[in-house]
Amino acid sequence: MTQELQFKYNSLLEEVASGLDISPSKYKQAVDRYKKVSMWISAGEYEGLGGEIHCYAQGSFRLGTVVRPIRGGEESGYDIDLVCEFPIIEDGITPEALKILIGNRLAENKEYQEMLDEEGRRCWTLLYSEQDGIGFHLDILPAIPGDPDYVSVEVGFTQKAIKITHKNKDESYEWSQSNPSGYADWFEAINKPTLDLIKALHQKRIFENNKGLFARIDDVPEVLIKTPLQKVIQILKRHRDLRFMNQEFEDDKPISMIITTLAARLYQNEADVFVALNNIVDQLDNLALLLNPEFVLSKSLQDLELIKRNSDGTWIISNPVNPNENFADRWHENKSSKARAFFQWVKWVKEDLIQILNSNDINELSKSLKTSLGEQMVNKALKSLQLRAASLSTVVASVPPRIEISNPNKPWGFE
Amino acid sequence: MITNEAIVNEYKELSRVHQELKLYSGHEGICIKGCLHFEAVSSGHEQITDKFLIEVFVLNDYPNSLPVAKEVGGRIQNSFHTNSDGSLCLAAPLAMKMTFLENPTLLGYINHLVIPFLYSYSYQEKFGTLPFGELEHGGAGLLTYYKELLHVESDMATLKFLLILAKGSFRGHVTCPCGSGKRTRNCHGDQLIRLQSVQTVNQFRAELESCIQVLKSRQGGR
Repeated sequence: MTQELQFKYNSLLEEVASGLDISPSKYKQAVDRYKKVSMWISAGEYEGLGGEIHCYAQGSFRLGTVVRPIRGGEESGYDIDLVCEFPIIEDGITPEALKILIGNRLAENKEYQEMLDEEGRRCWTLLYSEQDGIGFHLDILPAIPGDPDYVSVEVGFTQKAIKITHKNKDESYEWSQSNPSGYADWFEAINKPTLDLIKALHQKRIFENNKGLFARIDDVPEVLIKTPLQKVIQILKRHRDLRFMNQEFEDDKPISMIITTLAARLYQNEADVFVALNNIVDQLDNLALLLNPEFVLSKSLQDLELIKRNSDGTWIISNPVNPNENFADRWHENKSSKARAFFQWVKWVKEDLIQILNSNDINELSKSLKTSLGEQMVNKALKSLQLRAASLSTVVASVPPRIEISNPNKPWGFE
Repeated sequence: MITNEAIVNEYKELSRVHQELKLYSGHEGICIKGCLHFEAVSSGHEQITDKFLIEVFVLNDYPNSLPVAKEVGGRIQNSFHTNSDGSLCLAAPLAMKMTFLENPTLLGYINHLVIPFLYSYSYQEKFGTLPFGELEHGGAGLLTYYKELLHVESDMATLKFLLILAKGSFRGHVTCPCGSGKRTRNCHGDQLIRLQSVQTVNQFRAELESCIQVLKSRQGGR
């Protein structure tokens, strides 16, 4: 592996991540769409409701880790989650009543009525088909304020806890705890140092590359600027989607919350995507020892408490803003099939995205990358890299800056 | 200590001239990476147009510590003027600081320290000689450097000057160590005062010690 190849590979990974991401114009369109829905819901008449309804994006759209989903083997529309938090206490309404209230309100609008999908477990879904062929699934999650009573977590995070409705298989409804906004704050705090550093430059670049979309440079939203952490998460999610596709244990594939949480906890403000990916995957691979109860993790890895295994064989990956929520609550089922799938996937990431650097050149490397990240995405990334290199080399080749050397020093060296 | 914003502003100035250098962040500081393409001229030497893949680390205590540059395209071998970590030995430490103080920005660092070094390397590849010469590694190179800087011939005079700098004990009325017979204030005085402000006493002391080591081993060899 040469430095030069790693350099090129890193650029390729960055480019692939941009391709997986939502484009600035698409992002703006999505925000316009969900703001309209929010206004429609907020403007409804609800009996006995005092106070404002609070609607906000959650999940990958909020975190800036959106990945274009693959459905039926094809690149598909984006998923956006919108929380609609009603200022009602738990005793004031049943989960069923709240879900139906919002469902009815959506159906009152003729446009939305046509787009409304069948009732989901936790949400109502509006299916947008757009003229450019890249649509959205807008998931609307009815919610009420939750109980911010967790110990050992910063108060600022827990205050944003909510309860969302959950429809069981037997058609009964219940409340379930969630805190998407607190989680986003937690994630943003980790992401911020690197974001602050690159913000000004990237804002300018996005502004210039999307002429007419934003009135001023400052109007380019932060969420469109991607740090290496966000790019690593996007790449990992896409790799998971493709690697588990049509596998017999596809249902066991790691959920995005687990990938996002572990990657964020292991991110050390690395400057480039490849180095960050390499460090994160290395640590996750070390945790695979947990599959064998006889083995003991190194002290430093144990202290991190990324993934814990209890003596009864159950697994714990805590929600960082709610220790009572365990993202791995089903990992022990079926002889830890979900845990096995997770660590199998980590091995795949190592083989497909890290060891790939043993290739001879960037062409060989991109060929194998197409299998693990998607042919269309890698081709697109290669093309835009070539374009950029071509435009740069024509600009630079015609006028490399002219430097006049005066009073040069003599090269030296430590012994 | 400089704020990240200030570094970003310096980077902006740099990237207007060297458009292929990109900015990255890391937990130990900032890294600037990419292709450095230049057309360099120096009076009395051939013009050279060349490009190198470089990496420049700007540490958190920049500008107190200077950036560190590496060539990462695999062209410059370790046998050339590089440190054990692969970073380029652009000049003697004091020379680097003085050049940087005259051009105290990232652009100044690249144009006045990195490019002359790369020009030298390129020139040697093409014509077989180093256009501006070179210094031996370690103490021997330092000794040569200080002799040239102070325009003195003898090792002993050089050591005496370094001792003054290492002790921070400049006295204008004593006879100048160079042997001119003048008082120091009327001879090397101004130069010593200027040098004193560029490096710390400890840095001069470390250099003095490696010079002494070299002289000792030379005497031992005789």
